[in-house]
Amino acid sequence: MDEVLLDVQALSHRFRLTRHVYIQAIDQVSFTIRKGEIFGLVGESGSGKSTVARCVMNIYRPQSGKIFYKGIDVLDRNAFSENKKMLQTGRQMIFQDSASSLNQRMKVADLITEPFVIHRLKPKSGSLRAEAEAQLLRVGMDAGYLDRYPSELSGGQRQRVAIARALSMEPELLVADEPIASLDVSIQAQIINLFQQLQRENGFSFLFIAHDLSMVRYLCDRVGVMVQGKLVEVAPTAELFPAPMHPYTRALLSAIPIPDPRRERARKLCVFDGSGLGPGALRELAPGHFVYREEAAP
Amino acid sequence: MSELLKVENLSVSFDTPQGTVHAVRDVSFSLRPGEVLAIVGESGCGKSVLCKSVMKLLPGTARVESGRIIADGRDITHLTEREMCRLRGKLFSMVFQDPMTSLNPTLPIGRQIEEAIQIHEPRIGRKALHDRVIELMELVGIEQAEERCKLYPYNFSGGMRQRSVMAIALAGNPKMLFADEPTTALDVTIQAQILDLLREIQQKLGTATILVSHDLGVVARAADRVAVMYAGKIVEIGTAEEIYYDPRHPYTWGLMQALPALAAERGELKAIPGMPPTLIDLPKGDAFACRNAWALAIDYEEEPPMFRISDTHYAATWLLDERAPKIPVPVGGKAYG
Repeated sequence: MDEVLLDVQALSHRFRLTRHVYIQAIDQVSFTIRKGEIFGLVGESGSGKSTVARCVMNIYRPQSGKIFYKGIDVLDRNAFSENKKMLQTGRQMIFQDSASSLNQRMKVADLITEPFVIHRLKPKSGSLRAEAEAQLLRVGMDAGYLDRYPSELSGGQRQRVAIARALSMEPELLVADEPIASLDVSIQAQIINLFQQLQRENGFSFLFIAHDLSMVRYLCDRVGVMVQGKLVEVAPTAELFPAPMHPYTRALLSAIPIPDPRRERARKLCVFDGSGLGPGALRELAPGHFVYREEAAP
Repeated sequence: MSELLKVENLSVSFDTPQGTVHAVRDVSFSLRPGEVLAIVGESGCGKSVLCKSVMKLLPGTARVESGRIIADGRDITHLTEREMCRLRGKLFSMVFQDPMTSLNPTLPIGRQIEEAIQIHEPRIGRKALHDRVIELMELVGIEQAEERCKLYPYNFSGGMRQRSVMAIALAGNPKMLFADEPTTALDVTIQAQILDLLREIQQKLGTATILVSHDLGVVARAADRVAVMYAGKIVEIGTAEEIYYDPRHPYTWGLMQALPALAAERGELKAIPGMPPTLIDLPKGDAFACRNAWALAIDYEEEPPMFRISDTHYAATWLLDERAPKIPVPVGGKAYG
C-alpha cells in the first residue's frame, strides 16, 4: 500500500487560444498515487481534471513538470520507448462518453480484444473470442452480447464494455475520466459497485475523476480538489469531508445535495470568493493532509 | 385550494418504425398554485414527454391516446396550435436542460429577454421595455444588469446562462414554470444556487413549478411534493417529507439506496439490478417487477392500482394491498429524521 505507483511533480500545461493568448489549464500540480489506492480528483468543469488525466496517460505532452510511473519518467522519450509496452498496457483509461470512445463499427468481441491485437499479445484463454467472453463475464455481461454493436447497447452496458476493454490488459493503473457522469443514478451505483469489486479482486490503482462529490466520498481512499488549474487540497477521504481546510473545498462540500428535505432546506450554501488562489504551494497542515496556501509576497 | 393544473389519465405514445412507444401511461396528477412539484425518474421514463405534452411541444409522431389536461380551469387537451401559442409564456413556460442550446448565440442576452416581453406586450414603450429587462435580470440574480444585458451568451458562464433562460421564461409572468433538468449541465455549486433561485422565484412571484430531475438527491432542496416515475407511470407521489422519510414503493427505495450520499453513512451502495424496460413491448403486469427484489406473484400478472397511504401520499405497489406480506422498509424513516 505504501509503494508509490504514480508520482506527478509540478505538472503544468497550457493551451493556446490565439497567437498570444494562452489558457493555463493546469498549474504546478503535484500528487502521488500509491499501489492499490483509489485516488479521486474533483473540481468544477474547466478546473483541469481531465487535462491532468490526459497528461498522465501521455495523451498531452505537458509544458513542464515530471510524471513518474513505477519510477520511470514517462515524459522522457528514451525512457518511454524503452518501456513502451509496459507503460501502454499497464496504464489504461476509461472515458466519460462510451458512445464516442468505442468504435461504432466494431462488435463488442472485437472491441474488447483489440488491445491484444495492437500489442501482439496472446490471450490467456487461448483464443481472442474466448478471452472476450471471459472479460465480458467479469463485468457482469453474458456471451450473448459478443456480436452486438455499441449502438445496440444501453449506456451502462457500453460503459461495462469500456471497462472490460481497459481491464483486459490487467492494468496496474486505471484512469477513469468521469466514467459515470452520463449514466442514470441506479446504473451509476451498478458501475461503482463493479469498480469496487474489480479493484478488490485485481488490486489496481485507480485515478477516479468526477464532479459528483458524494460518489467520490463513497469510493475513494484519498481525494484531490482542483480549481482553476491548481490543486488546492489533498487529503484522505475520511479527513477531507469532515474537515475541509481550503475555502474552495469548503464551498464545494457545502454544495453537496443531501437527500433529506428538512436537513437540505436548512443547509447553508458557502460561496467561494476566489480567495486563497494567489501564488503559493501545498503545505502539509496535518499528517497526509495537504492544503494550498498563499505565500506572502516578499 | 383549487388546482392550477390537473392532468387526468394522460397517455401519450409515439409511432416509431420499431413499434409504438408508450412514453406516458395513464398519468394523473395535479399542481396547486405556488407549489414546486418534482418529477423524478431514470432517463426514458417519460418525465420530459409528460411536461412537453402539457405544453404541446411534442413532435408530430406523438399521439395523445387518452386523458385530459385542465390548466387554470380550462380544458386544453384539444386546443389548436394558435390557441396554445397564446397560452405559452403567459400561462406556462419552460426551462430546458442545456442553456446554450436554448439561447440564440448571435443576439445579446438583453435583446433575447426583450423579445420574450414584446411577444406578450407588443405595445410596450422602449423605456418600459428596458426597465422590465433589468427587472427580470435582477430577479434571476444577475448582478450589474445594466452592463450585462449587452453581453452575448458566450460571455456568460453556464450558471448565468441558465439564469438568463429563466428570465426569458418568466417574461410573460407565467403561472406555471416547467424546469426540465435545469441543473444537469451545471456544476454542483452552481446547481445549488439555481435550485435556490427556483425556490426564491416561487416564493416571490408565486409561480407553480414542475421540476424534472433524475436525481432524488437534488430535488430535496426545492420540492414541496415529489412524483416518482417509472416506465411512463407515476409509481409514487407525495409530499417531500413523505417520499424521503416514508417511501413505500420498491422503486423509490431502490433510487434512495443508489444515492452515494446515503450509502456513505451506511457503508454500502445498493444498485437496482437490470435496466429500465423499453417502452415498446412492456411486460405483463408491473413494469418494475423484474427488477424488484420484493416482487410478488401478482406483480407479474396485473398492474397495481394507486394505493392511498394518506391524503397526499399515493403509491402503486401490490405491497400495500392488505393481503401482501409486511416488509420492513429498507430506507427512509427514523434513520434520516
